[in-house]
This record gives sequence, C-alpha cells and structure tokens, in this order.
Amino acid sequence: MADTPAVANLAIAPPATVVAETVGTTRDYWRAIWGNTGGKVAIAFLSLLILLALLASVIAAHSPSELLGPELTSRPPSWAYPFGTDVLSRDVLTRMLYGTRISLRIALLAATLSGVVGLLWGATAGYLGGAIDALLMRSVDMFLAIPRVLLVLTVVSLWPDLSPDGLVLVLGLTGWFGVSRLARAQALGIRHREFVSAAHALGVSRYRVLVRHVVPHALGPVLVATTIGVGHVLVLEAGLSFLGLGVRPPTPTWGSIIADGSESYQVTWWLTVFPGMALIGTSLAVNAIAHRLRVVIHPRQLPGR
Amino acid sequence: MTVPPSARGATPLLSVRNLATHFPVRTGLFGRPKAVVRAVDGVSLDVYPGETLGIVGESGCGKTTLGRSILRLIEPTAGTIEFDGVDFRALRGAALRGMRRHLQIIFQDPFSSLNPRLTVGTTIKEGLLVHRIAEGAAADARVAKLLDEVGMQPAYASRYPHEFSGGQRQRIGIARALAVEPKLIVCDEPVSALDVSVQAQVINLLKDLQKSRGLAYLFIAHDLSVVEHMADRVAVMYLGRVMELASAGDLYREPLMPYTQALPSAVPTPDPERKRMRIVLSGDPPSPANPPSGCVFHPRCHHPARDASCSVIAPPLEEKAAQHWCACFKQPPTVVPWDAQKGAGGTHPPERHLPVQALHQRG
Amino acid sequence: MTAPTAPSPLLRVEHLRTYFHTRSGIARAVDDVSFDVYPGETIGVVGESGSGKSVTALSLLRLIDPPGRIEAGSRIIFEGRDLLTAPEEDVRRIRGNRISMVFQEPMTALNPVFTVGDQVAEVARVHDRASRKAAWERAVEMLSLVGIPSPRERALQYPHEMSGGMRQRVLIAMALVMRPALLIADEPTTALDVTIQAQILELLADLQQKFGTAIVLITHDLGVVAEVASRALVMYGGQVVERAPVRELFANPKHPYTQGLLRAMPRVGQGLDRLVTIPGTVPAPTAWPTGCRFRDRCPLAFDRCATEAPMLPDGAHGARCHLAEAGTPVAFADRA
Repeated sequence: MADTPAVANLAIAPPATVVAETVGTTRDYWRAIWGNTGGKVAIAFLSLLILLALLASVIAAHSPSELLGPELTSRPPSWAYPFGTDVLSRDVLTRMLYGTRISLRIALLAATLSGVVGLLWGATAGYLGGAIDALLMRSVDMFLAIPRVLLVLTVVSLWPDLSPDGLVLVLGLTGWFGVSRLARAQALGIRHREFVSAAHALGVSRYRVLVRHVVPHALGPVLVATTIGVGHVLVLEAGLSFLGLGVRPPTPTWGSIIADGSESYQVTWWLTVFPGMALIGTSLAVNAIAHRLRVVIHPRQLPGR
Repeated sequence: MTVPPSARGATPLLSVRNLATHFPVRTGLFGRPKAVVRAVDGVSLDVYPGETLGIVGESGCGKTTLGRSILRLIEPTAGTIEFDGVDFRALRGAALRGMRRHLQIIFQDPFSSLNPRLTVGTTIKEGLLVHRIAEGAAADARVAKLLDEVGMQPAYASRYPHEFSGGQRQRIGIARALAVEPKLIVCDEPVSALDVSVQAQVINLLKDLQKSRGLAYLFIAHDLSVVEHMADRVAVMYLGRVMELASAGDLYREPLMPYTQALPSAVPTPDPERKRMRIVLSGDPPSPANPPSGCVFHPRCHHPARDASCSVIAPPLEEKAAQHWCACFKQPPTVVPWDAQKGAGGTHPPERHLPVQALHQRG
Repeated sequence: MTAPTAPSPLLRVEHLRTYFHTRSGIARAVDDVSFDVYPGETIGVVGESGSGKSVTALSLLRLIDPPGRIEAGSRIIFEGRDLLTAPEEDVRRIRGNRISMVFQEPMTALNPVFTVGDQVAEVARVHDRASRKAAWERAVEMLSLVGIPSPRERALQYPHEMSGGMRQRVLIAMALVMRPALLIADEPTTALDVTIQAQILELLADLQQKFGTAIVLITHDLGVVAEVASRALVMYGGQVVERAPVRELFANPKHPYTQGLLRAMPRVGQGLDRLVTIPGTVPAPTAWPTGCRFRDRCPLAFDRCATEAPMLPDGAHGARCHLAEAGTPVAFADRA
C-alpha cells in the first residue's frame, strides 16, 4: 500500500518485487550476453572453435594419426605445418582441430549432464522437503566430502579402455553435487509461494508442479553453474589426458597434445602453447558468459545491465 | 463441541467439524518437537451454497491457516471436512485432485500469487488443461471469456504478470480460480493489499461473480468493514477458535463477545463527527503456542462478570439468540451452570453486557 | 488545534519537487507540493500508492538517494532555515533531534543485534553526548512513557522478543527521546492489527499533548486521518489535490478524487450493495496526463481539464480542480 522511496517502487508499471523477480526468458539471457562487448567476444570465440571443430575433417590437410615421416618429427611451426609437428611426425594443427572436437564435446556434454542431474535432484529435494529432502541432500553431502579429482581418478583408473563417452559419464556424474544445492535453494524459495499453492488447489499433480513451476524457477542459477562447469570439465579432462588417464591415445584432445610435448617442452614449445591457449581462451570465454548470465539472475549485483 | 445448525434448513455445501491444525515447533539439536502451535483449534462451521461466510480476526488468529486447512493445502491435524456430501479429508491422489476443482482460492498477495514466468493465458489455462475442461483453441477461447468476465482485455492473455498493477493481478488470480468452475472460493484477504479505489473495484467484481455464478465464498479478512460489506454471516476468530458466529447484521448491531464488541470500536472511521466510546483492548494477543487456560480471551477481557472461573472453564460456542452463537459463559443464557462456575472459582454470576448501543450513538 | 492564526509555521514547504531520473524517463514523484505545519498540530497526508506521500516525507529530511533528486526551486524551511541549502552536517544534527521519523515496518527499522534499550539510549548519546548511564536512564524513562510495562526489564530485550505493537512503541520512544518539534510518522500503524492500531494512535495523541510535538502523519487510511488529524492534505499524482481542516474535508469534500475515495470505502452499517468505484488505476509518474492528473479517471472531466492544469488555491480549504471554486458537484454517485 505504502509507496516506498526506491525509484523502482514508484508504481511505474512493475512495482517493487518485480525488479528482484527477473522473468529470465531466453531472450533476456541472450540480450545479457550479446549486449556486452566481453560477451560478444566470448560468443565469437566459442562459435569459431565450434565451427572449426565441426569442419575438422574438411579443413585438416591430414588425418589426426597420420605419420608424416621421420624427417618431419618435432618440426617448429612453418607455412606448411602452421602449428608444427610432434615427436611422432603428426601435424599438430590437424590434431588440434580434431582435439577441439573431442575436448569441447566432452566438456559440453559432461557439464550438461551435471546440470540436468543436479537440477532435477535439487529441485525434487527442495520441493518435496521432509524425509526425501533429507535423504537426497545427505547423500550429496557425502559425495561432496570426497574431492572430485580423487573420485574421478579412482573411477578412471578402474575403468579399462575408457571411451570419450565413458569419460563424459564419469565427469558429468561427479560434477552435479554443487548444482543440486543451488537448485534446492531455489526450490525451497518458491515452495511456499502462493502460485505453487494455487496450482495445488487447482488439482495439479506434484510431478506437474515440479516440472512446470519449480524446475523453470531453478533454471537460471543452474544455467550459470553449468556454464562455469564447462570450464572446469575442460581443465579436468585436460589434466586427466595429460596424466594419460583420459581419452586413450592416439585420439587427440588438448590435454593429450600437451602431454605429447611434455618431455621436451623447452624445445617443442608449440605442443604446449597452442592447446594451452585454446584451454585458457575457452575457459575465459565460458566464464565471461556465465558472468553475463548472472546479470539476468541478480540484476542488482552487477552494474551495466 | 456444539455445532451451529443449518441457518436456512438447506444442506450446507461445506461442513467443517472440530477442525484442528497444529504445527510442531522444532527446536533443539535433533529437531524434536518441543511445543505445538495450535493455529486452528476445534473450528466448526457451515457454508451454504451461494452465501458468503466471513472470517475476521487479527493476525495470528489462525484465519489464513483455517482457509488453507479446509482446502487441504495444509493438512489438518484433526476434524472432518464434508464438501458437497463427500468426506473431503478421506480423498487421496487422483480423487482428491479431481475434487479440488470445486474448491478454489484467491490469495492476498497479488505478486506472489502468479508465476512470473508464465503468461496470463498459460496461468489461467492450467486448470482447464489439468481437468480436461477444454484444450487447444477451445481453451484459448475460454481464457478470453474469463478475462472479459473479470474486466480485462482478452488480448492480455499473452502478457506476463509484471506488466500489470496489483488490482489487475488480483483479477487474473480470480480468473484462474473461476476457470475450473468452482462452487466455493476461499478468498484469503483478497483486497487488503490493494489501494482503496482499486479495492472497491475488486469487491464489486467478487459480488457480481457471486450473483452470476451462484458462488459460495469463505471470505477471510482483518478489515471489519470489508467483511460486513461482503458477508451474509460472519465468524470471529481469536487464537484459533471461533468466538462468535452470527449474521453480519446481528454481529455488528449486537456483538455479544467482549472481543467482538471491542473490534469495531477500534476501527478508525472516516467520520470526524462521530465521537464514540472506544474500548481500547489492553495488551497483545497471546501466542498460539502458549494460549491462556480456560477462555483464551480472558486476559484481555472487559466483561463486568469476568472472574477466576474464566481462566478455568473453556467456554463452549453456544446459541445465545436465534442463529447467534457465542463462546462466553458470562453472557447469558449459558449451558455452563452457575454452580459449575462457582466450583471453578467464579464470583460473578453471568450478566448481560451490551455496551454496543452506547458505541453507536452519534455525538 | 487548527492554527492558521498563529503567525509562524514550524515547517514551511514551498514548491517541493522530487524527481527520479530513471532510464525509463523522469518520474515526477513529488511535483510542486507546498504546505505549512504549525507547532503542536497534527496534519494528515493521505494518498494511495504512487501518490508521492512517502517521498514527500523522506524529502523533508533530505533522505532521497540517487537517481532521486530534490529539484532546484524547492524550499523546506524549518525553524527559520532552509534545510535544502543547509550543510549535510547540520541536517544530520536536526534529524532525530528536532525532526524525527517513525516508519511503517517496526521490525526492519530496529537493529536485531542490539537490545531495544541500547537503541533508544543511542539516540541520546549521539545527540546529547549523554553518558552511558544517563542515556540508559533516559531510555528506560522513554520506554515507560510510551507505555511499555516493566520498562527496566524490557529495555534488555531484543526486538524479536517483542510483539509488533511493542516494537512500534520502541520506535516512537526512539523518535521522541530528544523531544523533537516535529515528528514525521510514515504509516505508523499500517502493519498492526486494529486493536493495536487503536493503542498506538491513542499513545501518539497522548504524547503530543505532553510534548507539544507537531506530527505529520502519512497514511493511506482516511479513517486514521479522521481520528487523529486536525488538518489534512490529500495527495494524488505527486501533488496536493485538496487541503482542508479535517471536519471540512469529510463534510464537504471538494475534489472529485477525495469524493471518490470517501465513497469507495465500505463502512459498517452502510447497507450498500455495490461500492462506488473510481475507474482505472493511478498512471505512472513518468507519464502523468496533461492538464489535471486525475482527469482520465474523473467523471466530471471536460475540455479545460486536458489543456489547463488546475491550481491549488490559498486558504484553509481548497482543491486543485477547475470546478472547485463554485463547489464541485457530486462526482461519484452512490448506487444502491
């Protein structure tokens, strides 16, 4: 009833609560990313990477495991081989193109898997509450007590002949615990909102309320967490491949290319620098996008919406 | 507990008997319930088809919990709810969800009651789809008609809630409730968040809809003048109990409970000429976690016959005049015999106490 | 009680304009508001959401944050000096001392981590440099004055241990520690139940008698104004649309908006089937209508209302309406 001093509350069409309450449509998210220089650069960079990865077989002059011959081992970058060659005389540019395909695919799929599982798990726990909530969240606490790297290393070293899809499963299913907590907090926040009561009063089933009202509400923060998760998985996968525990050779990934040059990195610097740059660039781009997405969810925390 | 019988000989649409909703208060390390909040504590009432039963009371009296318990949005602890001849508390699963379309609710807060992510049309349509009342183009036509019925343009169906003012959002909430063609609507403070000029629009709309659709309302409010305007009969609640129940006219003309007498005298009226004797109740309402013994109102009571027995005997809700029910054994006639009162430490026999005529004299 | 005969007002507000410079345009929340407050009187400021009544209250203490701004040409003269040109330091000294404020929400206005006694004593320590012990004694005395039973024990409690009514009493105690000349009460009873509201209104009237404090009471409730104020300002669209002694306002409302508001309120014993309504809603403060701001909701509007903005005439009872001079006809008829 009372008008309050903050400007947004002056009964200019959307009053007080609406400002904190972002609708968060797809268009809002897209506008937040694209309406910002950093966001544009990040999108452009990622689009380019994805395009190159998709067209790898068209662009690449060689096949990723093709040996070019003993005279072409460990060549520095040149016009013929822009990213040089490795100890086994394979073209590094070719391997980078195919490696991007594998690395990005693993990172995107694993992060998405984490996002979906975490979202459903947490939203269910928060919405149903009570004993189910306790059961679901205590099991999350248990897994969170074990460092993720340890968990991944254990599974991966016990899994003979790990395929890239297997790696997606391992990385995806170890990355959703934090996400589920976020989703649960969101679900708890709207569980007692009156529109949820209204849906119950209409005779809408619990499952439908969960899917139609609760899950969409938790989507925003989960989207941000998932985007940041892409960066994490990317680095984690590179680390595993570097240790020789990731995707099995000769399949190239950014991590395995770095590993190939690790014995002589002072000399064959190109084996470290190019995949390293790709890793850093992608992580930065993904984090920039996550940062922009957060603007939609918490419009007051960040300037320059 | 005695039960207010049928006011008009008709069969009630909703019959609530001895309804109780208690919440455990968990404290301590292992979350063991340490105390119980008796939000609703033995309420009995009937709502007849097409009538408005008003529920008034101050915050914390349990009126909101009562409304939600009747709809089983909060599961009651004890008591029975009979709706349209069906034992509503016995229903489970699909049968319960199917029955829900006949009992709807309108909320107080026009902001939290609509999902900000769904368009107005989607929100109104949800009930239609769930109960297979209409689908596709037929559902859209229904939505347009409902919007028109609550005084909004059908084109608003594609807009989002944040584009509307509080009064308009309240209309959308009403359209959502109407979509499933209910027989009873629980109106939980539907106008208390609105400005006066808009409040009158929504009150008129609710009255029009009641007439055109033959709806019954359980109208919950803290604003006595709004309830008097809306309701045929009014129940006054205090600390989870019904203290008085009568037709709106009787209740305001001749309130019997000392609490009911004090309430209207506390309401400021826009009439500076009217100088009244005002009963200012001292103190705050006690906590429902720790209600006073006997009559829950006795610590704040100003009845001239109040005595020690009031803190011992819990007064039954009894009929003092035709269709006028009141829970006070100091207000005659009463079924609590004087001997029993004396036995509980009573020193003042029941005595008719009606300061209300004095209150309403214009000066 | 009405004191227009008293020569000098305690507070004189002239052409107050508080605008919010937002991305969606300039919101003219308060637009040319002028009024006087005389010592010891209670003036009621009534309005709905968006009328500008709360922004007016905050402007009086210069508590407007960007993008809000009190525009040049506004004057707020309190005890002979213009608060808008005074240095911030001086205004800070006046706040809580000569002018104090009571807010609507008694929970958020109190700090949950200090006892209520500490919070009342703090005011005395800040403004009077009172010693810790003297300030505490003052606090206990104030708590007793505002009707808190066993104040010495209650002073040691934290806000969450008190009821809403008790917390509002604590806020009033804080506001009155320094015996201010002016108390601005912004919806002080809106969050409270009617029986508690009655207690608080009675308390305010009592304390006013005792201390001679002038009160500016901001409210949406015409009933509250009728009970406690001697004069009233009705606000709509950031402007004062009617100014009148309270009895006059209710007996003979001149502005169609005031007439509509009075008739739209349901009253006990009124016996009407339908309430009178004012059609439409308050327009956005970024886009007030031209001419009279109420015209698109007014049943009496005519050509001149769209082109020429009416002025608020001087005098005890005046309305910002082209029809008011001759006495406005009844704008909103009762329908039985």
